[in-house]
Amino acid sequence: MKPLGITAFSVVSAVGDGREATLRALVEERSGLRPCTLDASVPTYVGQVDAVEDSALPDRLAAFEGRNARLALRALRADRFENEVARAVGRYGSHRVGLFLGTTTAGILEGETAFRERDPASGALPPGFSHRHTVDHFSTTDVVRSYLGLRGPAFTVSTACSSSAKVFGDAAQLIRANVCDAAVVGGADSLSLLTLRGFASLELLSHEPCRPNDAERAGISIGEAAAFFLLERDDASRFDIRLLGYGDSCDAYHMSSPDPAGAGAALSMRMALRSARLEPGDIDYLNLHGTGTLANDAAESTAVHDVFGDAVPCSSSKGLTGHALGAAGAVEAAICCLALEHGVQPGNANLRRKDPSFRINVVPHSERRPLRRVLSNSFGFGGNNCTLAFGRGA
Amino acid sequence: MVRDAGMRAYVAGATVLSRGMAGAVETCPILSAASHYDPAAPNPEGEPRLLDPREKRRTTATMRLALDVAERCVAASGVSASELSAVFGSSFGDPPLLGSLLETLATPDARLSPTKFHNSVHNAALGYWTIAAGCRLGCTSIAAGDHTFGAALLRGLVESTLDERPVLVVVHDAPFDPPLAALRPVAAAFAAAVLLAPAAMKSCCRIDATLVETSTSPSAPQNAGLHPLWQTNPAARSIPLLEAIARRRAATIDVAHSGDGILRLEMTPS
Repeated sequence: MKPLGITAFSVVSAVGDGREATLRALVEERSGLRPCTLDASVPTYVGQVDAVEDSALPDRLAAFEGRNARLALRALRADRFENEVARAVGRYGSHRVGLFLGTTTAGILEGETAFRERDPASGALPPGFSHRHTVDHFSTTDVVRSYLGLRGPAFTVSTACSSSAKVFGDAAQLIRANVCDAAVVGGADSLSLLTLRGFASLELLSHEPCRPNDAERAGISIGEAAAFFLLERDDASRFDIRLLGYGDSCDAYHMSSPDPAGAGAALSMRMALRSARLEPGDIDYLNLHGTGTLANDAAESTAVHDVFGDAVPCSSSKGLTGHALGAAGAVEAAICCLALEHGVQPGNANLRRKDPSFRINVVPHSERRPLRRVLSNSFGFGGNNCTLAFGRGA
Repeated sequence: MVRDAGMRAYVAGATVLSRGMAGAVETCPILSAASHYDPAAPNPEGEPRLLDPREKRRTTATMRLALDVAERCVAASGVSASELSAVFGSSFGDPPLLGSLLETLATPDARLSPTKFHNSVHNAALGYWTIAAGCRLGCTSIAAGDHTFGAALLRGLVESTLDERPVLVVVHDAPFDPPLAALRPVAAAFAAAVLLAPAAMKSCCRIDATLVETSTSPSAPQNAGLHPLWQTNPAARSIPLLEAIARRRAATIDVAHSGDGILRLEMTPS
């Protein structure tokens, strides 16, 4: 594909608000994971964003009130991202800026609360509850669209944990088709009982802060996060960082377990390389999906070895942020962009001893190193895979 | 004003599954000849055949409807399901499953079913489809509220035009159970599939599509009996396009998408 300029980006996760705080956490290897207080019945660690409750929505968007909407708007305000979007709107017109966001559960938390508060006699939901503005998968995109005043094509992509990586491909296609001149992409997902108890039911939650790629890894730590990017045609780019390519594939294997051979994951990485016109040897760093489950990390290491051998330095950043599910792709895209911008190769937080069966180069600690071409993997339930390629400089 | 380069795709198959409508749209009198639509007709059961019985047992009625309509569409086209990328669009996902999960979560300490949890992802129907079809191509699952059909069609048209490959667009939406049904009334379940193809494939008509900045209202169904379904079920917003395919006559269909203006489809029979 023709590269797209990333003219602005912002990120909010358990390690902090904005790019600077996130970069500091990467460099200092400071994890945001802590014991879960949302549901006492689930003994696990989570990557919770502090004081989301305090990030108020403007009055005109009050109908969207909820944790995910607040988290999304907090990330739009971070790093002056909204100002950069306003500039793009001024330049292209609001109807020429697309909006494609990933989420798995949108405002499900408000649905959970509403169901607990049903009228005991009639079973009716409380009068203030609006499904359209909270639980509905489009609600997160809708509130961001209203907040930013965007009027171009807009949709939610919901392919589980690859959602907010896939949206980069959607933007690339719609810009290439000249349906838009620019696009805001990203995602937001927040903590909920559904995901906590759901992953608990699959016995995939770690009882300690998650340890991706470790010999003693015991599952995931769920996180919440939001991250956004403004993509523009390269000739308009004022920024040094670019989306070089993307690849996506399906496992066609199982709904919630990855193909142990990693065939779909390898295909996704190869497609991203082809789309970016790069060879495996051109990649300086690979951000793994690396959730911390036994099956996911093993399948991914097999796939990475298949494509790259054991040369490329790679790591999972989920030990810092937790697994932000539908927002994970966007958060890790932001980490890749920070890594390129500041010459920091992210380490693999919480790694003590690499799984001895993994024939890949997992880098335990963050280090200063100039990076020019990086990849980020995101894989989801339903066997839905996506790989993004980012680069710096010519 | 039109600024996009224009999208062109050929319709290599179109199928529907809803009350009184099952199979190819061209042989569905409610769509092709505006025959009487009976809103009390029984809901069809989706009966997918490609999925392994063990996997099929884990699916819900909503998913089976989407899988069945997709299978019928691909079977009639003569293309292998494994060679099609797919865009699944659904505004509501799986409403009965959502209600059941929220009921369980409102009960202190109640355990969730692991199958229900993995089925709760919006891309569950797509996931089962790729397993059934043996499809390893990039496929996606999108939602855009009332304009989900327009968004999914736009996404499919762009991919088919740019990559010059067949793309299966599937839309499905179903009614909620109480208490959510009071907030989101949906007349009936509806699923449709349209196989968009490049020029080389056998097709019944051509679609030339552009985004047009206009305040024109989207096209409404020719069959007035379908209006309540079209209005309340986001997947049924596909009805005007399906009618145009079924009638095999040149037509201009305006579809609301999620942005300003409309997606204008110039339909030419082949």
